[in-house]
Amino acid sequence: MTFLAPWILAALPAALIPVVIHLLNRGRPRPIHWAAMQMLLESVRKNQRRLQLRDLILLILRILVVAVLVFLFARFALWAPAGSAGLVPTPVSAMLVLDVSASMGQSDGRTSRLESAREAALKLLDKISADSVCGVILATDRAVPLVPRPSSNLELVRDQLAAAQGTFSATDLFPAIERAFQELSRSQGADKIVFVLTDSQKSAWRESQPIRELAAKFPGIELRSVAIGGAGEPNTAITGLAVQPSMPVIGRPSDVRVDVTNLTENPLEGVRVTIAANREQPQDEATLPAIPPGDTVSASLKMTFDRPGLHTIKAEIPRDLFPADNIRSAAVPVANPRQFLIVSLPMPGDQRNTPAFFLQTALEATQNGGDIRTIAPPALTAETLDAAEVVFVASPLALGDSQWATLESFAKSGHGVVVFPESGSSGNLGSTPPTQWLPGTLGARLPGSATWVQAGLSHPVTAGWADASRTRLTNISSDLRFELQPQEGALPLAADSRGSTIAVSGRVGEGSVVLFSSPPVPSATKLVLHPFFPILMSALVNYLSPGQAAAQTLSPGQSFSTSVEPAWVGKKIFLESDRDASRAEVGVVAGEGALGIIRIPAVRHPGGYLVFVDGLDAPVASFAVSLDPTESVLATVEAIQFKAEAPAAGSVASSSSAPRVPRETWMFFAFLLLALAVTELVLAHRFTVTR
Amino acid sequence: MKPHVAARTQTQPLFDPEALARAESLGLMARSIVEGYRVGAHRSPFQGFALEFAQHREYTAGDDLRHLDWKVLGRTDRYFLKQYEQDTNLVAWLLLDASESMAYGSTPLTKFHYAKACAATLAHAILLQKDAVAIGVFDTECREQIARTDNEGKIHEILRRLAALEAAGGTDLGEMLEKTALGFQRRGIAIVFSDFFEDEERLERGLQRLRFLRHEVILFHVLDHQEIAFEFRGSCRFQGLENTGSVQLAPEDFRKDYLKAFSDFQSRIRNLAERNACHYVVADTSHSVAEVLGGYLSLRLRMGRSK
Repeated sequence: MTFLAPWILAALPAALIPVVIHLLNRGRPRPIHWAAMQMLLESVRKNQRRLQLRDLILLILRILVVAVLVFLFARFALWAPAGSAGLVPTPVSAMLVLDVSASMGQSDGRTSRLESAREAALKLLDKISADSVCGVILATDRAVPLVPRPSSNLELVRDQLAAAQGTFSATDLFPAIERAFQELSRSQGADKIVFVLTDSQKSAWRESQPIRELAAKFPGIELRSVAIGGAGEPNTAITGLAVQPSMPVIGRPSDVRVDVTNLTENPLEGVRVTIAANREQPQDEATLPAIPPGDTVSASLKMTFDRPGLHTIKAEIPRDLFPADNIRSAAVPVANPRQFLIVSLPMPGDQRNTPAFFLQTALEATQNGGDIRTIAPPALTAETLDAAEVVFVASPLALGDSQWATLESFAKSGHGVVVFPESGSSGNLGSTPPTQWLPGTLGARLPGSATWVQAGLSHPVTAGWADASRTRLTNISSDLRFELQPQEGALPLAADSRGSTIAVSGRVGEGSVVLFSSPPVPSATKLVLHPFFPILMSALVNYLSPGQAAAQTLSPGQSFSTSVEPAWVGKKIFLESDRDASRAEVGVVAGEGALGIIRIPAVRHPGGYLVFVDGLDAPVASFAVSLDPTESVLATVEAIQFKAEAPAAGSVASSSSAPRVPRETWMFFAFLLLALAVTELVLAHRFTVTR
Repeated sequence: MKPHVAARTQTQPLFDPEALARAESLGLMARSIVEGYRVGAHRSPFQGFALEFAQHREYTAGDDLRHLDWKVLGRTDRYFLKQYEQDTNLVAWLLLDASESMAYGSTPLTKFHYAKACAATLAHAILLQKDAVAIGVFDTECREQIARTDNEGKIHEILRRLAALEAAGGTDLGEMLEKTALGFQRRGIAIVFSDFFEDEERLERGLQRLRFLRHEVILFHVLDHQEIAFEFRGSCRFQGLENTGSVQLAPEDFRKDYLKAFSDFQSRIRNLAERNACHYVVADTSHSVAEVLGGYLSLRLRMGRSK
């Protein structure tokens, strides 16, 4: 049982008023000196027991009358199981929260959950009184009001419900429920109900605690859910798509990893995965032999791009009843082979122990296919830097001031610079180190060795580096290193277990600079001998390479924006999806300061998108819209714990673990109060008459 | 006597002028023949020497020839004796119950004060018609005794001594009646003023003793109106007089049964009076003394004429 207006219970002590009156009357009797005591005592002896019983009955009745009155005003309600709570045909103020998230697109073979929810909502409208008012809010991961305030025009509500479209967004019911509560709290109606028509996905109710607090904050508003669909149809989903390297080079095969999740209760076998680029025929395919229930298995496919620029790729598995997660797209920027320059002093003896050797070997392993040159520090001039994109400095002590200035200009123009200390040095970077633009300063050599840590990193290169199939950062240690003091605004790239920074990066003009605390030789760090080193170099190259817009991945409904050439301001923008060949005009390039800005609002449909500007053949930007993997998990909540939640008549299919609802029992209490009051009056009158 | 009860009774006059006027005009007529010590307005049981002829009786041997009616003998030649009624003065014993229960009064007038007023009025009326009066006041013992007198001038002493009395103590009226009856040297009228809240068997024994001695007995049942009607409201604590306990209750709840019990009690006293050939008069203190005494004396006069 519960109370919909529990603060009224504060008046419950009023039930003791009859007792207090009784005691007050007893406590101040009028003294009378009486002669005929014999007759009086005889009367008392004869009647006392009967009168005590009578008084007790009247007292209990009066207490009950007050208590029932308080319960009535506190709106006593009993928890009723799902399905037993019908709607009363009295006018109500209702808000319909219709879940239109991606999971509502799942079909049972005939109708989708959204269609069922729409049908249930229309049935609800048929059941409530014609004097009712009703509003509609669509729920995805945010609230989208269709009929923002309760309207008496129920036909309008019906029309809006019929026109409601599904989305591919994730679900979070809280914003929509909160909006519905706020709207109802402002309305003047008597019975206020929020109906939530949802498939009761677990992720949809993840903000259950705020919803519970909301229901407590507005006790006069009931919250009822209408469970749509069953406990979840079998579903197989592509939950991840990644390209390695993230910026492939033309003509060189890239690894494409496709994560397939089995969300059925049975193992899946022989799931065929294909990968295609730019609406072309699939380039590669793989068949996953077995996926246990609830597990995710990755398929590795190869893909080669024949031209530089922006591309989209699309992975597919066979369609099931929830097709939205059977396709996943990604935007991939493809680069030409890059030019790298290594600045290192020539060393006598075995060249396999020189920094230049390890750097060159690692860069070759990145499969960039570009030119890798090694020069001595004196040869570093603006001309030698002309063709390079990223410079690796392994002999900083040999650089003069003018060469440091040349490097600074190089970096500021949008290129990358990576600086390592020399193994024989005392830790400084020369007589006049460029402390102004390097991301940190090197100090004295630190004793002992240091192991890299995995967690707590926020650098784009190393953050979330959790691929066990490649390596773990904790396998790497440095034996020779110098104290590295990051500059303000610099971003640590790696750190040891004591919190000391091992590598740091920073922005210089339009370029980036990375400073390591150890030289790239085995006597200084095991990094260079580790398979992780080429991967790190590849990631660094992608991070430092200029000229390519980073590919973005958006959630459905998010807006895309990027900066472009100011010369393009005012030109039309076209959007091309990997679903079809047509290009849709989506606006013009806006000017913002010295930059041109492309803004594409609310891209709802998942897929890969290329952005074109009028007059240019090549795309100027690309992005992908991906379904939230949690939407693929169609399992419903086992038991909804919200107090004021209820199913309504008309739900197409109720969950087997139905939520409980408070059913107000005011009618019962009104009759009980009437019965008690009448009984008390009759008895009191009868007792008075028989005195 | 409870202090508050005593305080309010001090100011009540014993004589109700109206009652006194009625009593004087009506007189007190003895229902039966009483024995007097001087000639008064009342018939004497001792026939023979009196002034008024009563009847003839046939002569029998041994009769005093002085009472022979010679005229009858001359006319009829038969022997008849003349018998006369001798008028004698009345002796009225006024007996007052002064127990604590008599101190009750729902108005400033207590039952005891009412009884004293009745007794004083009767005493004055009796003395005015040249009859004798004696007064006894009792609780569990004799509290006050005013010797028999026919002197009108004594009325002031009677009033003074009655006024000084207060109701207090227990009740043993039956015992007191028995003892008092033994002291009555002549037959007369015993007039008892009491609420009769006492042992009814003992009361009956006392009355039987009076009746055995051939006294006429009049019982004035002095009752407060609330004792008869019981019209209290709200929560009340009844503290019994004469240590009869206390009880807290809502009087409305018990009214019906109380009235029945009280009615039964009155009926028992009335029956007790009738069994012993006593007059029973209810003296409701809400009625004036004149009303009660006048009513009774009127009845008594009518009864006397009808004989």
